[in-house]
This record gives sequence, C-alpha cells and structure tokens, in this order.
Amino acid sequence: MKKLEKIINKSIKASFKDNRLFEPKVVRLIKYFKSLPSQQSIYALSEYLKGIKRIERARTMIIETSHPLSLGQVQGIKRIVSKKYGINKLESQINPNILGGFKIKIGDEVIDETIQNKINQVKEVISGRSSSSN
Amino acid sequence: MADLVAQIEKEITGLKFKTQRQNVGVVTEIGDGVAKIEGLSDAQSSELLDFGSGVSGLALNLEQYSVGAVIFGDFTKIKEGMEVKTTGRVLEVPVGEGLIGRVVDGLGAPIDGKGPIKAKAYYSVEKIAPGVITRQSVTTPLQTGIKAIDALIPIGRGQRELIIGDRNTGKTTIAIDTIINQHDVVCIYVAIGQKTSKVAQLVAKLEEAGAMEHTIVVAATASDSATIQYLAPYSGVAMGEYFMDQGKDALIVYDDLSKHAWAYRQMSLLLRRPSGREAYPGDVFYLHSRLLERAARLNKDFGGGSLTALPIIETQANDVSAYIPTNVISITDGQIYLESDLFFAGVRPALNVGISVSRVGGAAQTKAMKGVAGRLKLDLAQFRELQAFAQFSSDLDPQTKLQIERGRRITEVLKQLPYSPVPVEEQVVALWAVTNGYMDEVEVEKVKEFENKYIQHLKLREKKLLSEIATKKELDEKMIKELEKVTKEFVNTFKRGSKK
Repeated sequence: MKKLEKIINKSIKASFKDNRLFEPKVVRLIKYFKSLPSQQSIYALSEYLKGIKRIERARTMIIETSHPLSLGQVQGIKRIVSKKYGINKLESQINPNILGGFKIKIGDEVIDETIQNKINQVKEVISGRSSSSN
Repeated sequence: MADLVAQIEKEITGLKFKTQRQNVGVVTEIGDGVAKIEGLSDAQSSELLDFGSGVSGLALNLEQYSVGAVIFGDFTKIKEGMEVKTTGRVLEVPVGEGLIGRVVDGLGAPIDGKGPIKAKAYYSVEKIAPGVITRQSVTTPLQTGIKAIDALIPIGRGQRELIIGDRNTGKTTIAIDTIINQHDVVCIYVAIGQKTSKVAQLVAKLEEAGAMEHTIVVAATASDSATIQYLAPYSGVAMGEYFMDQGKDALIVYDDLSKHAWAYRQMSLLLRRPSGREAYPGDVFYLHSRLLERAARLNKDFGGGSLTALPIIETQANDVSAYIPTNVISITDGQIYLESDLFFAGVRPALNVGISVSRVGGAAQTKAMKGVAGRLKLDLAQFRELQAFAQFSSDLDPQTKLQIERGRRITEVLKQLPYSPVPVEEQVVALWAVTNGYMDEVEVEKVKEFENKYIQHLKLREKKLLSEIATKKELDEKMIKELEKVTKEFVNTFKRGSKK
C-alpha cells in the first residue's frame, strides 16, 4: 500500500508539464492503474484523480461578481493576480447575492472584496465583540 | 434612541474596511460532532473555524491535504460540500465580574434566562499556565468549613486538591460546602457530563445558601455534545484566571474529570487518533495536566492573586489504580479520599483520613488549627491501630481503652451535616475540647449533642474569646486557660443536665 501511494504521488507530479495537464501522459497513467488488481486499481484511480483535481484547483481562478465582467476587466484581474499565483484556468461566476464588488478564489485562498462582506463587517461591529471593547 | 443611533453612527464612520483574505476548505466527512475538511491549507492548530450559519469549530488534526475539526453547536446543520473558513482567531470566552451569579454553558453563553452577560474582556480558552517566576508558595488557607478537611487535610489558596471516591459518597457535597463557606473568594463550579436536573438542584441549593452571589456555574451537561463537555473546564479556568489576574482569590471545582476524559476519548476516537490504554488517546495526561497547572498562586509583583482547583474524580468500585485516577492523583497536590463503606457506616463526610493527604496545605494552616490538629492526627493514628482490638474491650489495659474511646469521640466530632460549614474558631474549640479529653466522659452517642451545646454556650457567653481566636488565628496560653475554665464548667453542667 505504501509503495502504491508513492507511485500515485509520483504520477500526479508527472502528469503536469510546464504547469499544464499533459493529456497523453494522463491517458497512459490511467491505463496503467486500470491494469492493477481491482482493489488496488480503484484506490489508485480515486487517489490519482483527487490529486490531479487538487493541483488543478490550485491553478484555477474563480471570479465571482454580481454582474458580468468585460473581457478586458477579466484580463486585467488575471494580470494582477498572476504576479502572485500561477494560474492557467479562468472561470467566472455570476452571483447576485454578493450585491457588488468581487470575490476571487484560487485553490484554498479567497480574496473577498464584496459588498456583502462589508455589510457583514459592519454587522459585526454593531452587534459583536469589538463594540464592547471600544 | 437617538443616542443609540448616534453611537452606532460613530462606530461605523470610524470603521476601516478590510479586504479579507480567507482560507477555505470543503467539508468531506461529517458526523457525531466531528468533521473532515479538505483544503484549509493555512489552518493553525486549535484555530477557530467558521462553518457558516453561526456554527463554529476547532481545527484539531492537521493533515497534509485535510483538517480534522470538532464542531461546537448544532452539527446537523452542516452538510457535506459546505464551505469552511478560517478565522485567524483562537477560541475565547467572556470573563469578568458580570459572570458572577450566572449559569453559563461551555462557551460562556448564558443559559439561566437572566439576559446577556456584560463581559469585561475575552480570554483565550487555551493558555499556558503561569511560569516559575510569577509564582509564590502556598501560605494562605482556604477554609472549607469541613472540620475533617480543615484540620487534617488543609487546603491552601493556589493548591490543587483532588476529591476522589465512588459514586454516592458525597464528593459534590464537599465541593458545594466549600463554595458555601467562601466569602471573599470567587467560586466557579464546572459541571461536566452531569444530569441537567442535578445541576439545577445544585444551583437552587447555592441560591438558598446565598452562595450564588460569588459563584459562576459553567454547565456542560450530559445533553451537550462531547466537544462542549471537553471545552467546559478550559472555559471555566479562563474565567477564574481573570480574577487571579485582578489579584483576587478564586476557586474552581471540576465535577468531574473522569467524564471529561470520556468526552475527550469520544472526540479523539471520532477524529481517528490512535488509542492507548483503556482506549484513551496518548495525550489524555496532558489534557488534565495543562488544565490543573493553571491553578496557581501569583506573587506580589504579579498581583498576588490565586486560583485553587478542586478536581473531582469518580472511581469505579474503589479502584484508584485505574488510568485516569492515577494520572490526576499524580498531577494534584494531594487527595481527599471518600469511601462508600464509611459513608454507609454513618461517617459523613465519608473521609478516609488515613490515606487522604495534602502535600502543601500544612504550610497554610493557621497557628490555632495547627496546634489542635497535631494532637488530633496523633490520636486518630493511634486509634486506627487499636481499632482492631476494640471488640475485646474488656481485656484491655486502661491506657489502650482510653485511646479507643478518645478515637471514637474524635470520629464523632468530625462528622458533620451537609451544607452546614463550620467557622474556623468553632472548629478549633471543638477539636481542642475533644483532644484534651473533655468529652471522654460523655457517651459516644451524646458527643454530637455535647458539641452543639458547647458551641452554643461559647457563642452566647464567650463571644469575645471566639472572635479573638478568629482574628488572632492562634491559641495563646491566656486563651487556653480561659477556655479550660469555661469548658470545665460546661462539662459539669452538661453532666448534671443529662443525669436528670
């Protein structure tokens, strides 16, 4: 089992070339995992896919706004964010609940600049602890 | 109303909005108050997590790609796939004078329906105990009002004294008596895994005795989740630390730590931490040691406050060598051992004075008490040795017989009703009278009556002497002479009275 985990970790790393998913390699690796005994095969495939997804997610930027952004705006955001994070996939979502502003999500990281969040901050000040300490 | 609006306006205008950078994860597994979250790569150990919709949690297991967390509050609201945020804060509870007289849950929220709590500050639940240079040795007594404890197993302020015994031996009663007897000490009673009805009864008892005016009750009852039960003692000690930091004396009772260990065991097993002896996790010792280490007596430079801890452990079938009892015995500065055999024999409080010890309290005893306690200890020890021969009383020499009779009377004097603590000066005179043989001629059955009448007599006739003992805290020769005179007179009148 330990050995298999090592192989899986290695193959996850090997599936990427220049920070991009290298498809022929992935196809070859999946073929290899399928050839394993069934119990190992199921485990290996699920772990391998989880690993790939994890890395993909860390390189995907999701922009959440209340109104659709223009292509120029999106490119602008991408240019700024790329200075700090390696990004090779871009998704944009429309969510009217955030009222305004934007929310950027890259992997585990969230940069929250929405009106909804600001309202929450005000709410915390009025009802929460910081008011008693002031 | 206009005031309120103005105040809110002022607060809002001064507010600087922060662009929040958050670290998020996704719930992948959930159940029994424990969740597994994928992501949260920046989470710190024991950081507070926000599950949304008012539910929070604590990150405990940090793994490579996931975090194991416990959930406070209603975990049925949380579903797989929900987003979890880090908060960058550790768990805090409200502290301050506003909590006194209140009943709160394990997170410091009020549950007595008396409105919101005005907190002076928020203290972190987990805190490193006071260090070496901030401490001072124990020198001031903490009067429990129980004769057997104050005389033989004295407790000092800042001490940790374990109360151990089987179920139904009066462990909680000793703790409650101690709380009732305090006047200048803030008391915190932490109920862990107890029946809610029992806690309600206890609060009623404290209110009846007027002791709620200096007491905080932290209740994590059996209906609360194991995570809240695990947290409650740490919340309680944080509230106590506030008073210690203010230079005041505080007392905290943990009732009881065996249930706390059970709650922690449940949490650890659900978090899939490896289990050890009796299925407790490896860090169950640290669980209690870091809690009890926070009881301390600070020196003058740090305010001179103190926090005394009275942990309670319930044993199964008198087995003190089980895992948790031995752990806690080794951490504390002594133990009060209660036995069911004694309890059913009518010795209440059912203290076994032979094996109960206090490792530091002796230094804190008042001179008056020390004077009578020395003699008392000796007499009791001799009595225990001779007790086996007591059945052949007719064949014994007068010296041995006297020892046995004396021992019986001492045991009788040490008996005490629950919820009726005795002031020090009354303890001193009663113990003085019995160790000096003034009760030898009173029948064993009448010793209690004699004692009551004697104290009553002193209270009526010799109030000055009693208050002198209370203030001077010692028995000098002049006082002893006076006491001798008064006691002799009283013995004679009592004898005459009982003959009639």
